[in-house]
Amino acid sequence: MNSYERVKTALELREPDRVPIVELYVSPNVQSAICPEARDYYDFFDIMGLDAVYSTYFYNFEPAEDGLLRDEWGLIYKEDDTAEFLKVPIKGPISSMEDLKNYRPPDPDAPWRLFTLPDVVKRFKGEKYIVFHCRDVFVYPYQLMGMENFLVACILEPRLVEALLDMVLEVHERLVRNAIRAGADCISLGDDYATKMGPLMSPETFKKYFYPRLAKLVSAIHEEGGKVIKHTDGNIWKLIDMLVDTGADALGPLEPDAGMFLDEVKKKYGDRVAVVGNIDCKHILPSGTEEEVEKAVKELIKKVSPGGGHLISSCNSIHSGVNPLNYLAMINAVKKYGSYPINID
Amino acid sequence: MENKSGIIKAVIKGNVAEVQEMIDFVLDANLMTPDEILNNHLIPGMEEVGKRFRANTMYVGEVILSSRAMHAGINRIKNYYPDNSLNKKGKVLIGTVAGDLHDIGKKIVVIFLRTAGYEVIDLGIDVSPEDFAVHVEKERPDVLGLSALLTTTTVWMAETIKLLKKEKLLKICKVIVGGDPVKPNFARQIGADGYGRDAPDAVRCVNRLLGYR
Ligand code: B12
Repeated sequence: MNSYERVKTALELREPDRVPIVELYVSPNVQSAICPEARDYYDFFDIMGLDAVYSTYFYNFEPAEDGLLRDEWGLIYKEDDTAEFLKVPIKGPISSMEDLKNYRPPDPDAPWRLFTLPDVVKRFKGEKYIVFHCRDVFVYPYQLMGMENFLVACILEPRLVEALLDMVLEVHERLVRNAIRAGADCISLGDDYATKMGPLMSPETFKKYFYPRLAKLVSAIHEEGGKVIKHTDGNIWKLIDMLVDTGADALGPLEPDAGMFLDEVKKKYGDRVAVVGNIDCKHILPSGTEEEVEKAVKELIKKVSPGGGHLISSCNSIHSGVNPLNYLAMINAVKKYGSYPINID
Repeated sequence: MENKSGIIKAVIKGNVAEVQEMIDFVLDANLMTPDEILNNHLIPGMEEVGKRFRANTMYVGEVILSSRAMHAGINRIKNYYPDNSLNKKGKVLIGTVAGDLHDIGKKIVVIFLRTAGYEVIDLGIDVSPEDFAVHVEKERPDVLGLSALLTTTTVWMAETIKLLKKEKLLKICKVIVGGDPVKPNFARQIGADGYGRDAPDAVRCVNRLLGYR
């Protein structure tokens, strides 16, 4: 079984030959420490035998006033030299229906939008499972209005929120269709809906605005023949029924520190979704010992992998704070314990 | 809810107009003093909001609405406090440390501090130790709050405190720290004066440091 088939089989809720190893993002400093021979970002995935490759969208930045940057959504950023791959805007362009009416969203069909996906497809199609990581219907809306204004608008200005979400949905629906047509096997929908304590919005608010649009996005991806992994950080027990009902093929990575234990999720929903995750990247991977990492992997596989429908990864990403030796220990432990049939006592 | 006053309920619902109307009514009819309104109604209302936020039965949007209702209430009674003592319990400067772009939690801390009567200046995200030092010197706050959500950036909390110490700015203000990876032990180790595990706790911490109840 090659990597592609391994991931596909797990996403179809069956047992492949070994638990697939996937990772949304592996920080370059971790990569070069483990695998100095890698010449580009994807060499690492190849050489280390990860089973999926992730690529993501690209939006241009241009200089804005006061030495700031503006992206194609009109979001304003501070130039930042932090090592991570997610940027956080400090200002958005929309605060009223009037603003929204005059707003032009970025063109999802722009030739640079799919960024490295075409190269990834050329290089890995049929061999590794190709995942395109994309935002869904929460993060851009809140960034465009500012988090506080947006969450208040969800309560006081439903018409504005509905229109804003529909605009973002339209962009993303075209983007994900384009990605699948360009050769991606799967879309990872990346917006975080929760924190450690629970959802950022009430379940009623989620149901009214986000659930129906997420479901639409999932249907569009399925229509194109792609699969869907829905990611979210945080404690999502209050939303999980709806997330599963969107029709997503898998959930994760989910956050153990926020109470999202994969064995529990699998017990309740394993007949409907696969689970991705979730070796702790807050404590164990940055500052645990290699033995602790191996033990965590072994335990996770024992509890979650039997029967299939499990893809192993960190609980978020291999960010720059992860100890490279621990990540190596994690990969090796999956290879050691993850072959089917799982046999761990 | 049953035995809560109308004003408390309106604060919890985040209903600005109701809070204002009720306060106008009880003041006009001489049913309550401004002190009673504040201490027996507005503050308990916001305390209940804090409890529910902590229990995750109220969410960020709802909490912001409640804080607006609370402010509307304060505005109705503030003329009775001619020294403007209501909004002047103290000045807090707050920011997310260098390399860290997370600010949702910090903004909630700001909201709770403001509703508790503090003047708050938010320096934003990715604030370097040098920037913190410059602003402490300029604004002379009573308390400086540092927020970090990444394990890797918590070191900048220590660096910031070191620099403040070196430039003798710790005499001006107390320093409190918070954010998911920050633990009370760590706070003590790096020489912070206080730690808050969430927004209501941040208020308690600042109150304690500045000698309020
Ligand atoms: C939203 C989010 C983001 C957003 C941030 C948007 C924004 N404007 O803030 C985005 C998507 C941009 C993001 C980016 C990243 N993130 Co992030 N993110 C989160 C998430 C889901 C929620 C954080 C949050 O807002 N919590 C809600 C608030 C209410 O809680 P809080 O912040 O803890 O604040 C409360 C208390 O801590 C306290 N408090 C906070 N500050 C202060 C200050 C003082 C003085 C006091 C007294 C109290 C106090 O009061 C607050 C209110 O009650 C968490 C997951 C989680 N479980 O928390 C990950 C998380 C924090 N992110 C994480 C990571 C790894 C990243 C990235 C590195 C990912 C990547 N590979 O690129 C980047 C880093 C970017 C950067 N350089 O900062 C990890 C951090 C691991 C670690 N400990 O090191 C987490 C824990 C996810 C995980 N599963 O591992 N993230």
